[in-house]
Amino acid sequence: MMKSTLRKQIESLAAGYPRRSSALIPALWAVQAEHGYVPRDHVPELAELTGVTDAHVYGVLTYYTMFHDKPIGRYHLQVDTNIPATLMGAGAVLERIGRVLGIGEGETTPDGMFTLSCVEDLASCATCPVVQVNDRYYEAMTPEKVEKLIENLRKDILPDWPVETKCASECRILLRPRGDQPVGLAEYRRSGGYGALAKALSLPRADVQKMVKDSYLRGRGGAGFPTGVKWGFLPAGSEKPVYLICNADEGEPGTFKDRQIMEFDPHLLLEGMAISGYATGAELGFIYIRGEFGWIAQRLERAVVEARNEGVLGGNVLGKGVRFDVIVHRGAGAYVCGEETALIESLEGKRGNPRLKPPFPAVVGLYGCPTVVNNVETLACVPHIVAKGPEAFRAIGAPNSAGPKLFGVSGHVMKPGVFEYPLGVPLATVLEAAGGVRGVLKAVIVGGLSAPILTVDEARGLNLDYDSCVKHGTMLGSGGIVVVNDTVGMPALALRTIEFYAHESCGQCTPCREGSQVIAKLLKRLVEGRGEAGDVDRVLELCATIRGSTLCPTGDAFAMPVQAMVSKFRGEFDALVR
Amino acid sequence: MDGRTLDAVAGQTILDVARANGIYIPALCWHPRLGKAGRCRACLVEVEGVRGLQTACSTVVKDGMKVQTSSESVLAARRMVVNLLLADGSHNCMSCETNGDCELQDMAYSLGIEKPAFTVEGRDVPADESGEGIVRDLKKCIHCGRCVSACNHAVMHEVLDFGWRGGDCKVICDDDKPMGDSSCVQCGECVQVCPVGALIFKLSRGKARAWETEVKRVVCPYCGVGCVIDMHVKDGKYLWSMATEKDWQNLPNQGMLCVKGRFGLDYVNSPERLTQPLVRRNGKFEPASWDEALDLVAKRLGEARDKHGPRAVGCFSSAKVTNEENYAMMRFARAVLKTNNVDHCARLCHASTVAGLATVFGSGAMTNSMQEAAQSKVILVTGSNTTWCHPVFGGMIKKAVREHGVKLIVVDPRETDLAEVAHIHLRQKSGSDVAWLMGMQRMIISEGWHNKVYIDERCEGWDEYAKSLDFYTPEKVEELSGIPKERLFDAAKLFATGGRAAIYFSMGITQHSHGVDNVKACANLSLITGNLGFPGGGVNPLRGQVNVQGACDMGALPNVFSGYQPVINDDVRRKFAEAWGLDFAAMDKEVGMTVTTMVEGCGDKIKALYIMGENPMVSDPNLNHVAERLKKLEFLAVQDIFLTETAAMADVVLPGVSFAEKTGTYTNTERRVQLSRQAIPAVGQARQDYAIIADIAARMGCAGFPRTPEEINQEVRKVTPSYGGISFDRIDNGPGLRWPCPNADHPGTPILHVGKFTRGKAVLSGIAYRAPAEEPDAEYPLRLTTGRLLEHYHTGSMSRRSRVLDGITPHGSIEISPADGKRLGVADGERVRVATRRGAIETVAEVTDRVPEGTVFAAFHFAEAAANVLTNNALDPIAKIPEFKVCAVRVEKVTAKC
Repeated sequence: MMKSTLRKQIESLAAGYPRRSSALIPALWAVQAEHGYVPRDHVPELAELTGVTDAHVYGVLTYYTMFHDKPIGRYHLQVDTNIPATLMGAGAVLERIGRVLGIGEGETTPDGMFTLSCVEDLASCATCPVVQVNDRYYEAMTPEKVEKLIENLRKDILPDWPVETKCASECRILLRPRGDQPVGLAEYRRSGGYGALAKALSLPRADVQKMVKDSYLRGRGGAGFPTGVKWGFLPAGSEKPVYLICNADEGEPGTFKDRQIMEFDPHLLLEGMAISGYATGAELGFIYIRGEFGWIAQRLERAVVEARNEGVLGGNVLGKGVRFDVIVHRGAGAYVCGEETALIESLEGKRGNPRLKPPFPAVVGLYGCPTVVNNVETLACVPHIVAKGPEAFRAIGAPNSAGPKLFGVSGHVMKPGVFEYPLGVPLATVLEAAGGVRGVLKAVIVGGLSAPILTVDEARGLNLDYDSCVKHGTMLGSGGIVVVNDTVGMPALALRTIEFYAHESCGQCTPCREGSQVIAKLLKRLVEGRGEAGDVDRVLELCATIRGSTLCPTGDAFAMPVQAMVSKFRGEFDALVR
Repeated sequence: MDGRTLDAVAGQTILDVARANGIYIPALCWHPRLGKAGRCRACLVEVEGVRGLQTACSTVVKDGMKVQTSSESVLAARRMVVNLLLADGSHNCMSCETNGDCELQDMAYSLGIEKPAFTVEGRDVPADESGEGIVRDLKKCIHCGRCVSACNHAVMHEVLDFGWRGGDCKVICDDDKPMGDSSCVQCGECVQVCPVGALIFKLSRGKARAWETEVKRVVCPYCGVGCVIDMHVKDGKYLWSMATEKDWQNLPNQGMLCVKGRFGLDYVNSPERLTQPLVRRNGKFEPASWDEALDLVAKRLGEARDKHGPRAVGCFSSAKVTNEENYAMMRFARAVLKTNNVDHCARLCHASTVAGLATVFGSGAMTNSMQEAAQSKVILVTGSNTTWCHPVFGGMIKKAVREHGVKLIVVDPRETDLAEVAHIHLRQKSGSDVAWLMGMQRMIISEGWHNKVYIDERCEGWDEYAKSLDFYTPEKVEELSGIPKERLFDAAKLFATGGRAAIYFSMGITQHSHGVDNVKACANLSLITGNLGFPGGGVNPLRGQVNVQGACDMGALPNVFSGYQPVINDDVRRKFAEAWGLDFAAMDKEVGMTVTTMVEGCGDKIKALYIMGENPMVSDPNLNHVAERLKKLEFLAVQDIFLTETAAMADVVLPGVSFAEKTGTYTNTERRVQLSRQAIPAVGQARQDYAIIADIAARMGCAGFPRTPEEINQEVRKVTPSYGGISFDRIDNGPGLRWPCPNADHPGTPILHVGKFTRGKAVLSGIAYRAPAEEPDAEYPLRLTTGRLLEHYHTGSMSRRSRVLDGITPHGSIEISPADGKRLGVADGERVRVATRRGAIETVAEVTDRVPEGTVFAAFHFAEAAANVLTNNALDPIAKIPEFKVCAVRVEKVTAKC
């Protein structure tokens, strides 16, 4: 039986969404906040309050990594062991925790104080190693620091150890000078913030849409699809409401750029959303933010409340009779929810399963209504486009790749961080801004883990824009740059890569669900010295046939990188065959 | 496609076109009844001009599109899918139940794949054997999701979903309970749609592979939906059921079954089947030859008729046998026994409907169809626990609500499954239906929401009707029914202004001492809102048994011949006399007695009875009284497939054949006549019911009775205008025909009363409120209502002899509200004694909030704790139907002393 306060809380959550079922994940968070996990006997009530079946609730509860259906330790130590973190020393941190607490991955100390988990990329790549303790990030960890952390936790102290991410900006559009607190509304306004919104509201909606189209702004989430064209797919004169969703799921390994905007300059995002909402006719926008960013979600919510209080959001935006409001919605640990249709499913209160396309979200999206899904960085570019005009935006960057871009650099560099440059900046320039390569360069990923890795030769002369990346055999993707030096064996890297995707696969389609596992098992036996003749070819053949065959791009997202790692460093793999 | 130019229709997918043209494209997650899913990726094909491969199941064809279904890249993708699915080594065909009927096997075979290209360690998942009828072998699951889709969007039981993620994905029941502990009702739809052997039937495991069975198409013998079933038979033995998929869109059950049709047919194999005639000698049954038994029946019936007169003998026909057999019994009663004392158990269920609607519309049958549920804007369900008693149709209503925006009003004292998904659920006091129905009408008329044009043009009797509404003020109605007047107003507004509205009703309306009034009140509601004569509307009684509609149509009723032609009409009698070669003068020209009045009259008015396929010793009200009366008969012959409680009292027992052993037609609740063909040989010495009747007739001097179902059907068509065009060849292997269908060219009649009613104008009925015959008092302070369960059927003669059905629900119980349970000191599962003025039973308490405080509910299926010992044999004066739905009862906990 659910406590009545919890019940009331969930009823209120349900009433806050256009459809009750959307409150399921927030409701699960509320239950978990109360009990430390989701008790089985709460399932029927959760089902009743959100209008779904018991199996649906349990299916959602077990789908998302961050929900637990059994009690865990008081402090959940979640160690990022994805590739950037591993390159930067996560292994030693993990080992120290294990030694100090005497437990292995997935285990809980006998006194119930600590549970240890290995987790995927926490979007803290420049400040790795990072350990998430319950809802807090502890970045720039070392074995010594983590031991000290554990001492503190034993005394029930969650210490305040702020870590600054190195950042620099040439354009000062997306990344402005900052402290460790977010820019408040008053300060944002003082430097011209919400001026673009006022300007947009004085123009017809179609004009604002045209400005974005003419700016050649391309989606910054990874696909690079022209934003104005995407907005143009919305059907004219639809009776159904239009929804705007900000994709803040930022799960692509190597990527930690959207976080910078949301954490430190939330009003930039809100202004971008308000203008975009106006342009597309959406009166309600959602920010779907990855579950691990709990404190960032809180910052966004505070900014939304601030904005509402000042009439910048709500029923009468800037007194112009336009409605636009924002709901901040927290995910619960699923990389695939970064895919727009999976995100929509998740926002509807379901398992984050991508949908078949067509139909596209612009026609059939959230609740079956026309929906636009845009990345944080994309939306953050919109105020500048409106304030300065599309030509000024196009003037930044390269032909076909307009505007500024945030590049996160992690791995084997001296000063990992996030840097803003116009698109088309040479890779070499960005690496220099990050202090140069640590050690001897072996390979580099430029677009997040889903982009094929480049050898030193392939990376020579690469400019960071869409066309140059394609020419060099990779993709710009999210602009997450991960540098690998020659201390790293490619087979281990490939194995960790496929293990990530196998863990994150939604499980719907055969090639991804089974294929990612089979590739993982084949690579694992190679790495462990049990590789059979033909295994390397099997991996390559699977990658080749899985490409283009899956329900969503996740299949390509692992097949192409693995194929690149194996074929470009074939010798290392062959050497492991018995 | 593959170089062939093919025609297609706009909206078709590549897969549709391929299948229509015999081109093989494997599709493991797509299913004709479930649509596309896009998960398995087996159907990937090449489309010229489009990058990459496309799923054939979801890609709509365009004019001029060029498709390759077996290019190298397509075959490589298919091989990849098969090899990935086979990689964990769990797919071993040797003893697999679906060997030879497996879509993965088909796909592997088409690619020449003998064994997986690579193997990796597999999952070790034990099979879930907890379901009564279904085994889940999750090792073989290929995660196609068909079962989840079917459970949530076809049958609407909403039990299944996927749990976990990626390679850990698993199909779960509720919150990952074992299937047998979950909310699963064992309908078996998941097994039917599973492409591989991950879901199989438990009881037929190891008995046959698909190619070893013969498939026989039958009509389910249980409820009035009339599901069409492929019975799988091997060596003359029934093994398992699949819903017929061929032409499923046109069949009443749309390719679905409930637990009874799926798992409840095995009673035909029961060792308790009557296999030879029995004759009572010296108080005991002894086996006898057919000649002996038939001679005895003919002799004793003839004696009774001759000594006491034709009105002293009677026949009970059966709602469970075919139209042809009902016709034969009707003819036997009238032509041989010369009596109109022929009736059947419709008397106990929809006699009020037949009488009420015949008076109001001129025809007593369901006006519309089950498939129209999605076409209504508003549906009112009252007195029907549809998901238990017409399960497949209950699912259709649920789907209409969930997926087609239909608004549902449920008026029922109990919290039924449909009440849980209803927009408005009103819980009335049992027996107060005239009050709330007329009360709703008064509200509708005072708001001006009634359809004045429709009333003017198509109805008569307004003045008297309007005057009778004065009594039903909102306050009076609230007092009588217990429904708050604001809630009733909401329902009235929704029904009257929400768009096309249909009413579906069943026993809650009919089984009352004022049942005819209840039915007329329903008709009034539909009439004043103008909801008759088009799709999505109608007054729709849900007939409970497979052929109760047909038994009525065939005239197994005391007042009419087949086609509702009245016995008191000289011309009608003359027609039949001629058809049967009889002396017109010798025919009975008065309305005969009903099953209820015949039972009452046993011993004085009625001296002998011939009962076929009925079990009044469990189905009739006030069973102690029934037993007393039946014992007073001079002669009782019972023809049945089991030694029922009634057969146990007979002088002669004649073994008939089950539905699976006969060929004939059944008429479902929507007037659809379907043909069921014999699937297995007759058991033992059991004989066709119509042959038994013909033999008795011959021994009594009437040798001309038809000897085959086809011949009987020919005769029926000659004398029954509404069945004139319904011949076997027109309905064999097809969706049947709906009467009226007067001639061989007529396509049948989906909707009645289009344009005008059968009698011209419909009658608006003024109704005076009458309370139930017996309501709670100090001595018997609770209200008893009775009804049915999902797993069982009527007197349980069939369903309790089914291993799965009886396994799921081995005994009865009584639903008691938590408040009453607390007051009585009774906890869930404890034994209780339940008593009325008429008798007492002992049973198990089920404490649940399904019943409102003050009311208890018992199902009547369990002879050893028969609810009808308790019920009241107060009858409706016109329809003579008993008041099963209300009487006064007392419940006490059973303690050691009791």
